[in-house]
Amino acid sequence: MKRLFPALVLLGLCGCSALTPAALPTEGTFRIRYPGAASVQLVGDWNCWGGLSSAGGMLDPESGAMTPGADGYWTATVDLPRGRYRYAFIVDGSIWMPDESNHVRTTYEGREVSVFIK
Amino acid sequence: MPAPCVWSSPEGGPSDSLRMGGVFLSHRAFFAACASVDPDADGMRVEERLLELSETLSLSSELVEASVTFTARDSDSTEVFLRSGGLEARWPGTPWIGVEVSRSLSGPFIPGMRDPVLDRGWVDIDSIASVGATLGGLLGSSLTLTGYLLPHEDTLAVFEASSPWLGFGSFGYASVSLAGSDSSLDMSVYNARIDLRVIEPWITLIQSGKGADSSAVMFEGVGYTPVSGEWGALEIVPVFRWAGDSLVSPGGSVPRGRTVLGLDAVLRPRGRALSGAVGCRYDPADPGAASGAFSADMTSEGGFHYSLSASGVGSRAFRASAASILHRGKASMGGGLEMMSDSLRITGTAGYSPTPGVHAVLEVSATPVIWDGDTPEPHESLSAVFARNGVTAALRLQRRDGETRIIASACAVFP
Repeated sequence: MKRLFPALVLLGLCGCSALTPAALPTEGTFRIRYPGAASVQLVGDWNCWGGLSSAGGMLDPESGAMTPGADGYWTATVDLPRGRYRYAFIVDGSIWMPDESNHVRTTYEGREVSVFIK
Repeated sequence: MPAPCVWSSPEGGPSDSLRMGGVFLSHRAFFAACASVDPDADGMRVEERLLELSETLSLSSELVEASVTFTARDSDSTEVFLRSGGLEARWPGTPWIGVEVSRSLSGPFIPGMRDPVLDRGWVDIDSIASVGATLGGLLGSSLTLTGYLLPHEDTLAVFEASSPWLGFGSFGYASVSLAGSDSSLDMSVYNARIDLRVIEPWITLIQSGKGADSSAVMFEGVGYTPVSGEWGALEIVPVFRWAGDSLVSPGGSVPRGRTVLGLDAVLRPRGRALSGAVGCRYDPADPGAASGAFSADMTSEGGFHYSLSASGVGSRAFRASAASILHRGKASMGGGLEMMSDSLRITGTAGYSPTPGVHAVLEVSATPVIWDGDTPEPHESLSAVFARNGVTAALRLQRRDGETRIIASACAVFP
């Protein structure tokens, strides 16, 4: 099925669960400029890539949902413990984009993604 | 060492909950429908289709969190099955103690440098069962032991220990033991991050057996900014990686038998006008595999956004791309070209958003005749997406290599 809908996979119920220790929570605010997009999601190692690496392997349209602003920027803030995380933005549920303001890059499933260090 | 997934449910949390004393009950349903149609076939043949409805029931209290997800699916066949389930209990206090049992809910994950040492994608999450115990809260440190039952009756035991941020650094240790029908593995991973104020060295050591040949060392020094100002900072990152010839790494994220020296320069803007990076990698044993990469993004006051990138590996492979897009009002228009070692591709895009939550995009790409020499094969796609109030619908018409497909999808999350 992954072959069938590579660009339009929609969600499985993201259920990545773990005992989460009370490690130093820190804040990270992510922004991307994409006026007119129907939706923009922030996906990464911490949220099972929006559900793509969860059972079912489909993108949850509510996972990492970003908030649009009048200036065309979409914003999301997440609390993460210190560490390194790969992440990317998904526009309209199908267009993968690395962070244009963060050029520390690697790959996830063959796609170029950014690396967030906290 | 961060937890695999901080969000145990979509970030909105339980969208519909019922409180009974100190216990919260909630449920969340998800419906997805996808179909791929070949309009050139007789009667617009449906090539593939999927209908899926999942329901998650969750329970949470101060001591216990539990969830179970059932799925009904209709594709090549119709089936109803338990997709995932888990129970997590934690006795609060200092220290706190937790236990967890799950099926298809959590997979092994060990962070590394830019790529994880052990990624979740290494094994199919749909077929993993796990049981784990955690002890934590002692000055922020934690100990976790998790056993996984993998396909083919393979078993995986992962022990993790992580320190809190000690003011000058943090440390982590992970032990991975795989007992498989075809192979076995014992791997140890040591992580250290030290804050030296000027630079933060990150070091990861991996050992998958006895002897140096079964080891790997990865190093990056982040945070060194020799030049900074109101515009941002220029960060210089030295990189070193070495892996022995006999290293066994389950996810394959560490290439064995390689020594890599590297240097990155990263432009970190305070505003959004300009960002970029340039880096190089060099293997003394294989100078021909030396590589370099450059990328930059710029946004002009007029609303134009430019992206440039180039990378090459010796004389073996080369890639460069340039793209620009202008967003103005409800419309956008852009174009770009991508050049690889033996090909060139030109892309044009146009988008329109009549109202928030609705976006239509036309994209056309082709290889010029003068470059290819053969008949150009334009690729076209027209997509329209609607996303609002937990409902997403998309319709895509795409034509590639002479074949046309219509892909329709819809999903809804409720309540």
